[in-house]
Amino acid sequence: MKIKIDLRPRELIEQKKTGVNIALIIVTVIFLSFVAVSGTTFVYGYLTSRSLQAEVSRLNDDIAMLTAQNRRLSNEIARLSLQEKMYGNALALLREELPTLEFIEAVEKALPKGVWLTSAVQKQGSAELKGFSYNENDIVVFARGLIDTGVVPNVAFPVTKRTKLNGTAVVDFSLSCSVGAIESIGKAGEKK
Amino acid sequence: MTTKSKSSLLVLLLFVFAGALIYGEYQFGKTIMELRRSIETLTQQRAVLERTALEQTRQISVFKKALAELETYQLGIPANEVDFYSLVQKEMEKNGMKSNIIRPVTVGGGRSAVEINFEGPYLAFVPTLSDWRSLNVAVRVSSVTMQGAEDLAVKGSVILESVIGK
Repeated sequence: MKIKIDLRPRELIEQKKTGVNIALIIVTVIFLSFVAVSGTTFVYGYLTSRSLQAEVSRLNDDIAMLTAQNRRLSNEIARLSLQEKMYGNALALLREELPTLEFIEAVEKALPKGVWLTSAVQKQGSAELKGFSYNENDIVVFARGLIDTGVVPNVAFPVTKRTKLNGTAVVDFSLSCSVGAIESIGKAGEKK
Repeated sequence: MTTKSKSSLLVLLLFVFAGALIYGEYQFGKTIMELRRSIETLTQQRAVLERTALEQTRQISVFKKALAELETYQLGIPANEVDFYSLVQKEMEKNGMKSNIIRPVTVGGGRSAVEINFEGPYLAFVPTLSDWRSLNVAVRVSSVTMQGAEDLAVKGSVILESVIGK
């Protein structure tokens, strides 16, 4: 059995018992401060990271939604673009309408007695007429009449050939002429 | 266990606790930095997408405005080739014109065309041309060839063009 015996004077022993360990207090305070600050930072970091993760998640949702919306808008633009192109083509088509009725009307008006047609071909901007007449002068009258209608801006040099039809002397002719666009014919008509 | 050993263990545990706190803070700091970078990138991405959506919405409104103007022309478009065929044939039949051959021909510019070899009275052919023009669908005559036949009749061919809806 061990027995500890303190042989110091009694006053010194009492002073030791009631004395304050400053170093221990400082270390404890520093440590507790460290724990408080670190703990606060830890909790703050945790909460901030949670909040940031929620924001990232929200942004990802927004992006997914916007991407889907943009895809829908792109499809709609493609559809409208196609529709607009189709309408544009249709309008262009109508602007290129061949003035057949105007040309037929012009031919009927200009055709003098004694001239008759056997064929007529009308294409974009031009026409070719073939027929017979009793004399060359009637062909000239016919060509001038065509120009006067305003539908035919120009008639090319007529090609004629004397021939016989059912025993009668006739002139076989061929006329090439230019035909105005439907818009210009309309304007010419308005002016007249 | 002696008091000294207990104290040593306590000190060790406190050190471990402090180390864990520091490591945790470091990890959270790192995560926060990464998340902030991600947020920055995502925010930029979202801004780009929002601008794109705005631009596309503007484009759509421009297209719709243009289409509304075009629709004032009340211009119909044949839904398909059969519709086009039907429209053309119906007008010929109505006027008493006979179509000997109707066949598709190739034309450019996204258009469809048919060539019709016809035969009938001249006085019925002119109203047919007029009726084709009066159709409320985009149809045009692109060429006409006529030859005289007996009894004021004509025969020939005509090419009609249209824009098909699909």
